[in-house]
Amino acid sequence: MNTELQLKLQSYVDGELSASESRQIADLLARDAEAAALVQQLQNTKSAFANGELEVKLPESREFYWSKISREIERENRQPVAAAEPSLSLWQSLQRLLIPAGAFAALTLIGLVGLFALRTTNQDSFSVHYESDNAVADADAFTYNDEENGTTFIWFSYPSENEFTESDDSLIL
Amino acid sequence: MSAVQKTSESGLTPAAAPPNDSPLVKAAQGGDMRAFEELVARHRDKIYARAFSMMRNEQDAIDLSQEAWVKAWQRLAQFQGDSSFATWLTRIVINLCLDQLRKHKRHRAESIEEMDEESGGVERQMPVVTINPTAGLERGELRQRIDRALGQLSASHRTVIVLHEFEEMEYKEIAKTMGCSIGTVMSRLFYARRRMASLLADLKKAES
Amino acid sequence: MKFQPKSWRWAAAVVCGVCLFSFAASITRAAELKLEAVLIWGTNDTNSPDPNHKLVGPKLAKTLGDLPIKWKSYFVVEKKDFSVNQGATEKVRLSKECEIKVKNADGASVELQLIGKGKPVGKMTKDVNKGCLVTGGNAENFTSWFVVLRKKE
Repeated sequence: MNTELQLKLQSYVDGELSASESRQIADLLARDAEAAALVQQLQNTKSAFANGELEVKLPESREFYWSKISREIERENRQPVAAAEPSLSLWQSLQRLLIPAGAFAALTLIGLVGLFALRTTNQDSFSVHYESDNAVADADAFTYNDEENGTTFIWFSYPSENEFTESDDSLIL
Repeated sequence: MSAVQKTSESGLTPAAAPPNDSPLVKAAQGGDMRAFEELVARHRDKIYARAFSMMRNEQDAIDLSQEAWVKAWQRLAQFQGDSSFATWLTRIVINLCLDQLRKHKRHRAESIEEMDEESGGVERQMPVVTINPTAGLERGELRQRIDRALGQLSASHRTVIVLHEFEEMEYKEIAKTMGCSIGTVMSRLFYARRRMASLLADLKKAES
Repeated sequence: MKFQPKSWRWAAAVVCGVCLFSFAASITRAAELKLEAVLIWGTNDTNSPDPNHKLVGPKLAKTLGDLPIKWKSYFVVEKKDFSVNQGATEKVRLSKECEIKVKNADGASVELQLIGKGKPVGKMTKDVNKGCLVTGGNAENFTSWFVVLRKKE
């Protein structure tokens, strides 16, 4: 029995097949003893799990367990306050922020003007470099960036593997 | 006024109706720490148990479950009540456990076991046994055996079993949670189940 | 207000920044991009039913193998080399159902539009000097398709 059929039999046990596929598998089970035996084994294992999990209790008292959580929450809440230096006056704090911010704004403005000047021979509009900017029709699509190799990967989950019927073709292949 | 309600230390008895978390959640969303503490008291065992089932290590499970509660507090505003509070929190702890398992995996050299996880390894050659190794077992004993067998699975096989059988996730949802293809989920689940069947049969043999 | 020596330092930093920024901008004005688009079929089977399918090369196999969605075998269904001038868009057909539109945005970034069965599937932008862009999705019988777009070496 090949892997594909084994996985299909498992999907049958898990109720992940379409109605027509389930009928096909039911027909197969009636004439293929090996397939029927595998389905039986998978069903046995599945029904064993249906009895639930072993009950596990937290080996710490309510107070002790909570104390660690509340301490962590308080620590996280305090963090932004701790980052500021209380000895600085409001004006000094503002100066600290405004000087680099002003310089950065000036740098960006002059840089942009410079870029436009350089591009006068090229009629292309100014474009910002995105590492990867994606607009995809599939809301469930996910993006994975492999920073080491610089690969950007976008996976389209639609249509899902189980939505393929015999007459369906892949969106691409 | 605090929305804290009096509940027993252990939360609920199994036969009782599930508690209504909404008032506590609402109060916690408004910054009421006592309400949040009560939510922790209600669900701490469940969240710890899920972390333990995935990590199989008491200290890791305690740390990750506590981290999940801290994250939950920070993200309370995002909880819209689309699922139950316990389900929402369970998803947080599952994701934290998966992150931790991935970190462990990165530090581990590629092993034969790892390569076998998707291709089946020895389970590929195992004969199919139709005798039910758990037939006639009392519920408690059955759970004990399943737990022992789960402890012998690799982390990714165990995870896929936990998510499918106990969290009742569909293949697609598991693939999304674990960041792998549905095909990978299916093959992992298949070989995990075959290994479970074999381990349960061994336990039955040892008993007789 | 007195002009402090500290302010001179800021002014010098601004001038240097402008020079660097302008230099970087002029570099990005490279014109033509030579690209390669590959349509790939990912499967757990070791052989493809199509004798024309060949396994991908080791470099591409490594790139695909490092992705979170893994298959045992990756077969090249179609491979096309093409070039796109800056600002221009090139249409490339990779299969009966799959077509891509690639725009050379600025000599480094490309805008890839993926079209499946005549319908737009997604639009992505990537700086191909930094690495390749891989898109993928489900195919029949629990397999996958991938489209890899990379700069031709």
